[in-house]
Amino acid sequence: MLVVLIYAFAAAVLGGIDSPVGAVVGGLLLGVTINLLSAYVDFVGSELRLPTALAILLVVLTIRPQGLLGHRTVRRV
Amino acid sequence: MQLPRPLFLALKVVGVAAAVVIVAVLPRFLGEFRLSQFTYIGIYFIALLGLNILTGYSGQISLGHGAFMGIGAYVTAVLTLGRPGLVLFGQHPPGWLPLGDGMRPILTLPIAFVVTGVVGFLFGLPALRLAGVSLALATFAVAVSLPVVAKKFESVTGGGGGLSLNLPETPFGLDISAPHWLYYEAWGCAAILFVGAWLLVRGRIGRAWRAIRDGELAATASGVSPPLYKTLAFGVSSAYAGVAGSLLVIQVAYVNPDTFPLSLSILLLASVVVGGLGTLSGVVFGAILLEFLPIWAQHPPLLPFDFAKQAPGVAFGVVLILIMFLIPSGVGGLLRRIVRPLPKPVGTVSD
Repeated sequence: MLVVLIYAFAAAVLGGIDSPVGAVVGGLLLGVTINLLSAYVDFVGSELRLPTALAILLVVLTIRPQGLLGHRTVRRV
Repeated sequence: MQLPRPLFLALKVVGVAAAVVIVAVLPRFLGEFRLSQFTYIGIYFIALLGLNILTGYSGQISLGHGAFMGIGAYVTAVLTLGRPGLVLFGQHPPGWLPLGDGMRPILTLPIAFVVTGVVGFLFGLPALRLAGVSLALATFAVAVSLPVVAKKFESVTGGGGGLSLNLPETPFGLDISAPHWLYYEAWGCAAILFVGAWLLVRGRIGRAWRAIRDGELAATASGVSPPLYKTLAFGVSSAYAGVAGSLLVIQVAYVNPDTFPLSLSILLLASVVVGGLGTLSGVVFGAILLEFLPIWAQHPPLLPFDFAKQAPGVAFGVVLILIMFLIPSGVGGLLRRIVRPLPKPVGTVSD
């Protein structure tokens, strides 16, 4: 399923896309968070799991584009 | 073939005039079914124009344009029904939503344009930090998410059952039949948005977009702000898609979460490549292909047999591969290769 790819990608961005340790941390964090949310928050339920992953992805990109453990890239122009 | 500039310009004007005349008189020669097909072409034309602004001119990829069409469609459907209409469906939308009491479908078009534009802009703001394949994935997630979200917010969207509108009729007491009205409505919007896209693309903004597409670093060095212009492209592009979705829901008078499947987003991207990235006029060929290829692939003209239901996907793939091999710049690029203006004489200052 292609949907797995989206979860994986969101996890990678959450952990920091250039960091191997970040991938592990992000994967665990995202997986556990989404499952807890869908189990205990009625609004999310089983339907809104994917949109939640997308929301997490967008929030991370807005607040901390390098992810939790990634490196901030500085580009000189 | 290279033409002197004034001649090329004249040819362009003649081409546009011919296109306008063809679109205007075509309904006289078409039955109702064919007419609706050409209405769809007008609608796809708008969506593809938007996608071409994003992909062709500013070099960003989007697999989520079907979803933006869906947002536009829902805006139109909900506003056309209004609160009383939704209550009639047995839904109870939350009181704080400004739904109104229902309005003419055509008046919802600008609202859909603005709403989808804002949504696209807000989505583009974080998403355009990603590039290439990552951006494709993020927009892909939007395309997958929209049906789910639409089903979840049942009180506004009608859930899986969708929303049906009244059958379209001709407003303002005009003396034409409803299908003709829809046709002219779609192509009228297409004309306006085409001119809008042309003005955007030829000016300062278009130059900034092309600069970002061709070399982001160089563009930044020349004082162009990539985040600003990329997000702008995303906003404009999704606003176009929103109008296309609105027109679609006015045409079919029905919308549900599966009206805008993931495959639509992918086919839109394929069509824009076939039409020609970075050419506005080539887009119309992409739209024609998007409407007719699925039909021709299943019921090939001139052949005495039909193909399976899965044939359109295969046909699209084959056409895409052939185009990539034969005319990588698409139909629009091919046209430009056949007729192009002489280069400007050395020494003149351009722009």
